[in-house]
Amino acid sequence: MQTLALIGNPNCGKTTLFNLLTGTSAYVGNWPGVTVEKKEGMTNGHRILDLPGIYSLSPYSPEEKLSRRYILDEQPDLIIDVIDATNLERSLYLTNQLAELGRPLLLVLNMEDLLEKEGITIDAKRLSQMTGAPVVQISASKGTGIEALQAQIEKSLSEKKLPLCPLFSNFVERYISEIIGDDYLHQIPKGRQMRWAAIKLIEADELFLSSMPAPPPAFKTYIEKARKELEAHFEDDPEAIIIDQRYKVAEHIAKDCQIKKKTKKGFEFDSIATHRFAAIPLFLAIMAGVFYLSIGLVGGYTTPLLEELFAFLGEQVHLIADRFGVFPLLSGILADGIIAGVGAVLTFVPQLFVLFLLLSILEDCGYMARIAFIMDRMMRTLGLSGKSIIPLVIGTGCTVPAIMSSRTIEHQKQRELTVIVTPFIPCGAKMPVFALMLTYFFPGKWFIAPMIYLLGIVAVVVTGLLARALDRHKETNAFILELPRYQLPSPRNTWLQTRERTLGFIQKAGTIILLSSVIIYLLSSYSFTLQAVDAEQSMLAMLGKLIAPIFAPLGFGFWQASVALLTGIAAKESIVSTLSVTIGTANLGALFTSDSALSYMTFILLSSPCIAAISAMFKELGSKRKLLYAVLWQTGFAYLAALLVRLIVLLTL
Amino acid sequence: MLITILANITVATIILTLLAFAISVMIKQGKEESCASCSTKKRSACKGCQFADKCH
Repeated sequence: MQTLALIGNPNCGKTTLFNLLTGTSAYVGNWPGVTVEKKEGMTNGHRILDLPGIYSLSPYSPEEKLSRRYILDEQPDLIIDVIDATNLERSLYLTNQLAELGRPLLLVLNMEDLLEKEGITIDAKRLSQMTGAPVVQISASKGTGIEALQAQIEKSLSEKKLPLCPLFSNFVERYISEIIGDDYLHQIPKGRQMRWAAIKLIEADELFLSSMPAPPPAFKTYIEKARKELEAHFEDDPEAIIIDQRYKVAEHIAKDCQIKKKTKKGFEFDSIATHRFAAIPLFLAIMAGVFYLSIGLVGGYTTPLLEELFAFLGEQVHLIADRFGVFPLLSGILADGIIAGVGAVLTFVPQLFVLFLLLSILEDCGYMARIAFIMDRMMRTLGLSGKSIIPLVIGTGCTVPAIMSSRTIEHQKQRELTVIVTPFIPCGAKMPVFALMLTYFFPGKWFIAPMIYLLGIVAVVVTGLLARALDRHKETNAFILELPRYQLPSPRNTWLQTRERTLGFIQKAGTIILLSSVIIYLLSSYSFTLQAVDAEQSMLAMLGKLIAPIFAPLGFGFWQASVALLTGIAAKESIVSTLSVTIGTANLGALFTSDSALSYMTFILLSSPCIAAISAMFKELGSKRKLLYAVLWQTGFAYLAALLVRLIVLLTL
Repeated sequence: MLITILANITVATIILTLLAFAISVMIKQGKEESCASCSTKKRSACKGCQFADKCH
């Protein structure tokens, strides 16, 4: 079995191609940085890896380190360099670095379908001649050219032809040749190329130097002399000189292989979507539309229908159980625990499906990346990394992978701050609670829904500003966020992402919600002496009444709301099922008022996340003390924000 | 009497099966999809951390 490695710039379509070649359904996003880790699959009996998107093999970011280490240590049989054909010159910089590694290389010009639209013509034959690597033109999103690519993969694997190494200016080449001639170079680790090692020595690449034995004094002096002479000649540091040399080669190849026609520019949506002042109102308007369609329109029809269906099902189970003399405990667990609890969560499936579908469309068409672009500027002001936006966008789906994705942020403080603020962004699991409260207390007021997102962003901003004020050693870093082009959302990608999120939601209903519903039913039906009692005298009520006074200032100081918050630690959807089992969703109005409902939503939005997300936070923070501070900050902030929201509502109404 | 016993056994079996299924799926999910199963023990890392080669 041979190994293929897919590599390329961020957002060049690697994961789409990976899915096509392997028949799998890895998540694809129309914004850079989706592939944080490497994914593995099989194609035509070969092992294939989808590596994170990178612009170079310089070991600065975790993605670059991961990709470089993989290619050098694992020695794949073929490197498939996926190139965005509309950005040839930039992509060729990475191609040049890959060619230096001395592994068989195949160039895949992706997005060929967009070339004509962009007025670009590429001479693939000439490109192949200049790089010494075969070139295949495809469109991964349209699925064209895949057969030719598969045939070329087999051919390249059997030929094992190495690409041509890019040649630099004579002045630089002279030093490379002299370094290669030294015996010290024979000590390079297995699989490394002499030329590559010589370049690394000129660059003084720390990662490479740490893998080598100490050089003899004479050789060390020569390298230092060579670096100084290069610096004097080019008036730059050696690392920058090598970068410049590679860019010159890339520029030369691109100039020789492609013709660009000038195209007329018309109205650009980005002039509004990324505008300093118009962008946020536009985002809120779009989110309001998304919520209106999903929760308002679809939820308005489907939720009452499904509620009736599950209520009918529960009644029928009771009737049949009574007829056959089933113990009330057993029939109660089944009807009032499982069916009522799980059913309460499942009633939200249709509206969440539409919500996830619309969010996927926004992401796939490239709009979400614009939001990232707008936020990037703000993130830096707050002491967060520009990369923090990636976890925050992923967090609209689920907080757990969002927290995991913060690993791409190099600076520890920025990474930790991102981990702490990510749960403020409303995840899919919190949506049923918001939908429930909005449906019962604010029918028709769909402007409240996007305010939830705005409140989450405000919490991120406040936390960021506070952390910035307390941090003595302010860190800044550069982050290249490339705006992807707008495109028609791919039905396959949109469907895969929507399906994954919806199935994840349903699976949660069948697992943790089912378990917690049974436990809640038992605790709300029995006293501490294990006597069947009314809910008011139950174990759950006793426990809830202990903590309920804490929430009295927030307007929900009754035990049902308190225990629902406790079960929300297991999974946020449990809040809905617990309220359904203890109060009954139709009776919410008997305990909640509009101000306490808003305050309850605020507390749920901002308080510490579910146990899976807390566990992910612990892993990323790596310290129990830091986790405790994070959870205390989130919960304390949520309490104050909920109090403030309630006061504002009470004062204005 | 027999029908009552059978009915009780059936309902109890349904509940236990659902609970057992829920627990087994949760354990499986915990191992595959999150870092919850990762520890310092060999080969305990979840899929994501194995790939990232970086589990804290």
